[in-house]
Amino acid sequence: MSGGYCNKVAWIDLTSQTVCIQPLDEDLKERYIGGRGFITRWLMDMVPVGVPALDPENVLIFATGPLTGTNVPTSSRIEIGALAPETGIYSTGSAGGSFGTKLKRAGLDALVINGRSEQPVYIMITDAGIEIKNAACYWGKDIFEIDRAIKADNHKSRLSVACIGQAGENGGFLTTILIDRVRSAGRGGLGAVMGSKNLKAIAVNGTGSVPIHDPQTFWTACQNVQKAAVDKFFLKRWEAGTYGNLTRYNNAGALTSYNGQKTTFEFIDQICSDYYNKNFKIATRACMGCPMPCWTTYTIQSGEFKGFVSEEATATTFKELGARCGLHEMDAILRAHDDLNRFGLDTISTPATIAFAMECFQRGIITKEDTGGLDLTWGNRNAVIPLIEQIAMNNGFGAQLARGVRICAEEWGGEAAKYAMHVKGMETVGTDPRGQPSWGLGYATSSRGACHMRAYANYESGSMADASMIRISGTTEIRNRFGITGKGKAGAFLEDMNAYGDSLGICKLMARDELGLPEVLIGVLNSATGKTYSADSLYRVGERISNLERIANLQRGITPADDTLPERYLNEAVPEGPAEGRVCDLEPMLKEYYERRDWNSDDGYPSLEKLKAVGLDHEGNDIST
Amino acid sequence: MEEKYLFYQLNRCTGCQLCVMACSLARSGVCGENESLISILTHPQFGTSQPIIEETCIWEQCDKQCVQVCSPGVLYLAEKKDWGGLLLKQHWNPVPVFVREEKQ
Ligand code: SF4
Ligand code: SF4
Repeated sequence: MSGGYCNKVAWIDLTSQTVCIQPLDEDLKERYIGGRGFITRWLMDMVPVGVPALDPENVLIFATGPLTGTNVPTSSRIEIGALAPETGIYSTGSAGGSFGTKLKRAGLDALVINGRSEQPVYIMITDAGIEIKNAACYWGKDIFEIDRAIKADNHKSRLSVACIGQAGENGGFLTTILIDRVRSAGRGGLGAVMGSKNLKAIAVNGTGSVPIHDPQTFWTACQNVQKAAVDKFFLKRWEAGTYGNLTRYNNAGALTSYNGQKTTFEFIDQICSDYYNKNFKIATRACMGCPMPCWTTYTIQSGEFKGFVSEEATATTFKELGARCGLHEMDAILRAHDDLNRFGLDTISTPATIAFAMECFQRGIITKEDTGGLDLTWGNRNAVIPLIEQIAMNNGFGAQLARGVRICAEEWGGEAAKYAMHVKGMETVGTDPRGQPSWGLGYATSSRGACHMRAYANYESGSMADASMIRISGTTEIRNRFGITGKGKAGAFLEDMNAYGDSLGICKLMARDELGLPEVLIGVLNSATGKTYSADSLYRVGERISNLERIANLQRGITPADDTLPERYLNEAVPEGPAEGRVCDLEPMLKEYYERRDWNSDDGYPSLEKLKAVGLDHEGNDIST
Repeated sequence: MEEKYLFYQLNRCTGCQLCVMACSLARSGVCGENESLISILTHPQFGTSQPIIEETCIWEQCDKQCVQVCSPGVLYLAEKKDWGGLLLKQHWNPVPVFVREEKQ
């Protein structure tokens, strides 16, 4: 018996309001595994070059992997993808929570949604089937309201809801799709894509189960991965989620502060894990199937927001709203973070865009006249919190920011572009590559714009053992944090590793290091599915996905010149702290990366040999050789 | 037959449901919740969670797979000699038992 998959995909056309369930193609499974692989393949096949992201012809895809909803640690993941309005290229992202698991339990591997409904709708998925329902009364509601309303109106508190907030309805580019209120995916404006389809939410609660090919072998394989994951991560995460890393970034001179004018934050003690745990944290929470819980619930017990209770605070919360915007009042950070989730905004790109505006304000590129009277002085809570609402509602000064730093910089002109921290239109996260060079390469080469999670190179801070990294990069130089040699090779390998990881349905917070290596994962994969992947063939799937994403990007006008970094990271030496005097020496890393990938440095295309090796040599006629 | 009861620690359960899937896999070879004798109750707003078991769990002979996968150490399958000590402790409780027939 085969297992892992449900072997069913729901094709949903919102224009005609029809649903068609079809079996999953065997060859597709073999070559792309699931999740990100499926999405990239389907987007290539379904969305012609030239279709704008907010057009009904764009396709919004939710795809699980064969491990989603199983006993494999962290296997709650669902990948969400579409052509993204902010960047004009594909964006796929992974979310946890319980949506993926419950979709599999409803007997579906993926939802492929195209067209546009005339009226606001939501999709209800249960064991009984799929229904497209009227959502007129839900339009305008925020994430928390809609989550509650759909559960209440259907009398089903166990539904998992994926939805957009007002920000996505209003078409902003800094929007994502939220799952179980606070798990999020779809940077680059997938919230707006969902909004453009007049699709407010998808609610799912399947109660079936995921079949397993060889339960006994699978159990043992799961236990091996689980033991390693728990040994490595449990205590750290239990005590300080992902935000425990904040101090580490600060100490490495890699914490983007004041939009990158500094790489340490003088108020670190007021935004760090100890301070948060002592004064705000209630409990640690996990996604379904995760033994290394990484997010928390919290309450504010004094000041302006006294009595406030909410969920999810992660490293991103404190990095982006804190150091990056110069904000050091924890209550304001938490409240602002909650607003980002509530409105369905990107918790990285939104603060990044606000920080960019603050620097432009500091330098006189924009003034109070432009901001509608808002005083964008660093760390001003009375500017950050109202601005978030304006961005979501697409009004006031926020309506400009809602399209991200690249467009703002173009419109504001002058020196603004120098302070716009983005790659290919997507904002960087608040880890400064002048303190962590491998992150710089990752931003530059990521297939969806400056996403740190494509390569997710954490080895510079010791999270992957030297021996593994030496093997991957072929050099002992890789141990040198500020070294360059080997980092191109490492970057390419890690990108491919995350590409198959995102296709299996597991979380990068486990699989970005050793536990993502193909030899570690084939045990659970093969025993779950009955397939016979070797470490090489699994790795090859990742490489295939990376190359396919590359081809998709090239077809949409990306060139090697776009594989770069914001000027600041390349040319402006860090003025203080542990990374003082450093810039990110991208060029040699990039060169090594291109060689390792066998991509032509002039036109950016993979060589024909490479395409053959990954089985993409029949990929349309428009591929240069 | 040695009598054993499942106890749980308050305020530690993350709601991950690994215990549910472990029980399901052990009993029926699939990953799901219907086949499991342990369930997790999670508050839809606050996310607080705790286990409950079906009556059958009490009589079941198993390898306590749920305990094995619970990383925060919420669960403990206690032998008779430990019951008194655990019951005295504030933060340990016997896992409540859900009896299906009583529900109707
Ligand atoms: S590590 Fe965090 S985000 Fe990943 S599955 Fe676990 S709880 Fe969810
Ligand atoms: S009892 Fe343990 S394994 Fe079960 S949901 Fe709670 S934390 Fe997870």
